[in-house]
Amino acid sequence: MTQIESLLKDIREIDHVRIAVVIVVAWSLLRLVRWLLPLLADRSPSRFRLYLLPIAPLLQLLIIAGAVVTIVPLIFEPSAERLLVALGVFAISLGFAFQEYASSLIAGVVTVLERPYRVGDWIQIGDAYGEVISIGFRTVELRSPDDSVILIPHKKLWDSIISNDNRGNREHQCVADFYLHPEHDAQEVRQKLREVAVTSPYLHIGRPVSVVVHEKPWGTHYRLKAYPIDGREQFNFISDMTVRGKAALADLAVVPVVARMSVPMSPE
Amino acid sequence: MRGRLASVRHLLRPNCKPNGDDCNALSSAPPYLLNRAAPAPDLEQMVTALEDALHEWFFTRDPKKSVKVVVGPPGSNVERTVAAYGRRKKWPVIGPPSPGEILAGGHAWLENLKGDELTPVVIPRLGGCYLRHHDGLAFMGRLLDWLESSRRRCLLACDSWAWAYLARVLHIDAMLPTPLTLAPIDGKRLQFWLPTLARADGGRFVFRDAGNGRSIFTRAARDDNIIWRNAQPGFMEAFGEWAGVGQQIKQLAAYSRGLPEIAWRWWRECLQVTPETDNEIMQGVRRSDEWYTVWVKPWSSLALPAMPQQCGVVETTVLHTLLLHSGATTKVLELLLPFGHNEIRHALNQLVGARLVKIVAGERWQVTLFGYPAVRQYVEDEGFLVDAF
Repeated sequence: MTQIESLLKDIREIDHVRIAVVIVVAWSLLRLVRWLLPLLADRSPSRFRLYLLPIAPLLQLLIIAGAVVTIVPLIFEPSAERLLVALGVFAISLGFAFQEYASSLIAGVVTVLERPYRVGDWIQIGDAYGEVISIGFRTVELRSPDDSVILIPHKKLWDSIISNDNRGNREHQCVADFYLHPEHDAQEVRQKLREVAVTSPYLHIGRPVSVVVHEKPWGTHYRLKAYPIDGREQFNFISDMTVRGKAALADLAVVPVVARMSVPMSPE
Repeated sequence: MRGRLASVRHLLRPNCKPNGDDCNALSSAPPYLLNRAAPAPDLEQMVTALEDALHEWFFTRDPKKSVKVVVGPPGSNVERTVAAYGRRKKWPVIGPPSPGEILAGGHAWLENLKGDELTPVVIPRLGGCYLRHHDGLAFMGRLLDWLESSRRRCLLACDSWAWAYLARVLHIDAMLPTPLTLAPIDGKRLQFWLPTLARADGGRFVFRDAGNGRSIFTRAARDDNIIWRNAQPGFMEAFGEWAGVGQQIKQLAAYSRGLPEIAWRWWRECLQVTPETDNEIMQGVRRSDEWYTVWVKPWSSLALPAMPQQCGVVETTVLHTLLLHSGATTKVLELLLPFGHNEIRHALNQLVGARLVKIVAGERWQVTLFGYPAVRQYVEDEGFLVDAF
């Protein structure tokens, strides 16, 4: 009998029914977690949302680990020697056939435990930016501002810079930019932009509002920085500040800078 | 003597539930009965209490203490009390400027304030002097500057939500003196206050729990004279300690967040009568020393307002804006919010359907006092700025 055959129990002794039950139960629990937690997060007060959502990947990991721990002794003859043999075979397989998959898988487990990002975070990985809606074992799913779903393998964790806007908090800083002709009263504009932010209905009034001013060769760049109550409203918040900021600046007779567009000349 | 014996007999009758048929026939007390068993509270006592609190300020000559502020949440009647106090003293009572005036700068309104420095002025709605708009804060800023520097005595009342917002945005709490506020009405005070209201016009009502027949209040008529003679700060609480507070009253006080008008409105909502009692009172067939039994719905059977199922960002923001401004017209809401007319109207219709919002004088939307506890809890849970009450 080969070593591999000796690892396994006699096929007649394997409790297939029990294995099937464990798989079905684990699958059902995974589906339940994926359905229930987002539902609870939606129905609960918003301040609980970012506490509930990140629990999902952890629960999924525990369910899968529990299923594996239950099934393995049903298939393999338990002994230290045989376990070492099994791990050796597994490692070789991973090394040659599934190294990319395994890398993402391991990165997924590290993600769940270290939490560089969690469900509900707004992150940027490379060119992709969006809200984390699900953390699988191999990929993370982002919903982009244009409502597209982006799947990014976790292995990107090893070699990419990941920017996280909110790190588990509900609110994160939003910036509205204004580009103005240099001839204006900067103090007045700064004060007015601050008032634009503090009178926005989306504003988290407990977080600071700041107006950063940069003088450029072409004019003055104002960055109005503030925090919305809920990060999901960040685009509405930025739009609100921009629209009302433009109206307020127009009332002050402040002229915006218009970018010149270079029009390509025709061959004639 | 006979009347007193009758009242004691009524109070001591144990577990007097309505008869089987009557139980099902209990109906909400009609308006004329509500106006006798739970009449509108008289502001006079509040005005008198305010007068006592302002006694020292009234005679002050210190220009640094020329401004006095009273802050209260919805349902505390602070603004009406201050206005009534000003009228009693025959001082000018100045209402807030219109939204248009605020946005335009309010210069004429401010000039109006700079009158006779010897006569105090009353502004009962300081919270109406701003708009949460980028052009709506400048006027309040100038008003606060004037109040800081003026020698004229000014009595101001401000809604607690406006105060909370202005404290964050304009630091009004640093520019004006620490405000006065009303103590909350807890179970012990309610235990005293509600039966006092019922007996204000000589009404003779016994309030019983419709679930178990027990008397809601343990106070007998013979205690009334003692209470009135000894009514002073601290007495109500002592009486409440001695008499004990029933669960129904505790729940009412807690749900109302200590706000008297909210407690009063929910108290009226709880009152029910049998058809026989209703007829007898209407026809006046009973002798004057007889007591009428009014049944009080158990708290658990009340349909408390809840947020609508489809409550999204628009509805939440509309509610919060109405709280910050103590109500607003549709036009003002469209000015202050980044939503279209139809979105705002749809949200308002939803909220009216849930009894959370009502329209006053045909044009001004307000959060109802019935719905205020639920609304406040909801906006707080959603992370919006709330007041300190």
